Amino acid sequence: MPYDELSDEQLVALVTQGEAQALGALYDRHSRAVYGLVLHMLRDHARAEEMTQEVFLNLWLKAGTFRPDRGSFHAWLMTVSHHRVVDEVRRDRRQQNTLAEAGQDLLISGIMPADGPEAGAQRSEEGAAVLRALSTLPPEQKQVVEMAYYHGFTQSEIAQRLNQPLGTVKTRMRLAMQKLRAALAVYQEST
Amino acid sequence: MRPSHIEELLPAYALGALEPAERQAVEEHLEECAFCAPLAREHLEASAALASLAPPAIPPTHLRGRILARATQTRVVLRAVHRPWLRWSTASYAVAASIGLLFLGVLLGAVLDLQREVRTLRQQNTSLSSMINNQWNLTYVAATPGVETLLLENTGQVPKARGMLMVSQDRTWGMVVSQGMEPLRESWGYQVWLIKDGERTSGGMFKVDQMGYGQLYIKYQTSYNELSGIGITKEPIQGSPGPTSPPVLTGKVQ
Repeated sequence: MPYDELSDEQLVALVTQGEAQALGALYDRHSRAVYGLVLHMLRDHARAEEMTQEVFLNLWLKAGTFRPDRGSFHAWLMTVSHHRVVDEVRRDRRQQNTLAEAGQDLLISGIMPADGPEAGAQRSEEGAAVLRALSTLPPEQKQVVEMAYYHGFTQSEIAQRLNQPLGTVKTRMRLAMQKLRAALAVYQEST
Repeated sequence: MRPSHIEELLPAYALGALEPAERQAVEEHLEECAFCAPLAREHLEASAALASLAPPAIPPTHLRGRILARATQTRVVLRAVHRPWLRWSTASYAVAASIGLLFLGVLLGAVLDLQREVRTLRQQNTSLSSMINNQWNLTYVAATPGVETLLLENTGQVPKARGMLMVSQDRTWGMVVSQGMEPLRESWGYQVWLIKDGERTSGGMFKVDQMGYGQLYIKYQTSYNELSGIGITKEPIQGSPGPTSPPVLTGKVQ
């Protein structure tokens, strides 16, 4: 059976057996998502390339740590990639000591939907569903999601930067994730 | 103290908003908790969807080939290492040399991984020792005859913060114990203020762990009986001459 007809889970099983072409097939399916996220967060093509390579070589060596009963391969790969890039962003910030200097304007810029659901028209269907869900969030919930996910701030750093109690930040994150999970569940049921 | 479930940490875990040590603790918990693992799955599916909002970007065309070439080399090295029957012909030495170099690279990566792991374990060990030490101090103070307890009031700055002051029978020393406090950055801590005739003098600084637990032993300059109150504020770790932020916990001495 051609590799592109196999599921992610089947390909991962082949990767654990040393099938490089299976790794290639997984790369073809997921490298844009990994590279897109990493590039957006690092804003440096060379480092994004290096990190994407690291993610897929890590997959090659440690594919056996993926557990299909714990979620989809895509979610696992994106989580691994995101945690890795978050560590890198934080290391950069420590080195440049920009935590105290970065302006508030950074926090609401970029990816998050300020223009309503129509902005999602150019994106994938899943992206559009997420965007619709995000557009219904109050600005303060949207802000903590953006600061955490796209800028790599810890919840304590977010609380400090927004001058809010840590408990408030945690509540905002919890409510935002609740809505996101609900929106995604509806999307997945409809497909 | 380890919570039996960690669902409260899952939104921050999925959004990548935990410190590395907290993240590792969550992952270890998920390995063994049948209750939290499905919840984590839902959170991670949702956060992975957030990645799809990043502007589409196509990796450079050469990257795929480079990754597959490196992967194949790594596999050759790993296989070669596990082949005792490999015959060492003259040509094999040249191959072995290049394999050796590659192997060194892989080994270096593994050593770096191990170093990172050792660092994490050391941090956990330090934190565990500090926790045991704190518990021992607390047990000692609580078991001292005649110790009185003053419950501190939460001012609403940190919703889950709780605290108490334990005072010795001879009123010359005490211990502040807090829970549910907000963990602060490295350069910040909690400063205890002893209030006498409206004047606030520092009783000392303390840090809290990730669970918000902290304690401070206080030796009174005069007597506890002369105090009218006590307060705890967030201050730079070197301490402030007077409070510079609203109190998190306060107590009125009778």
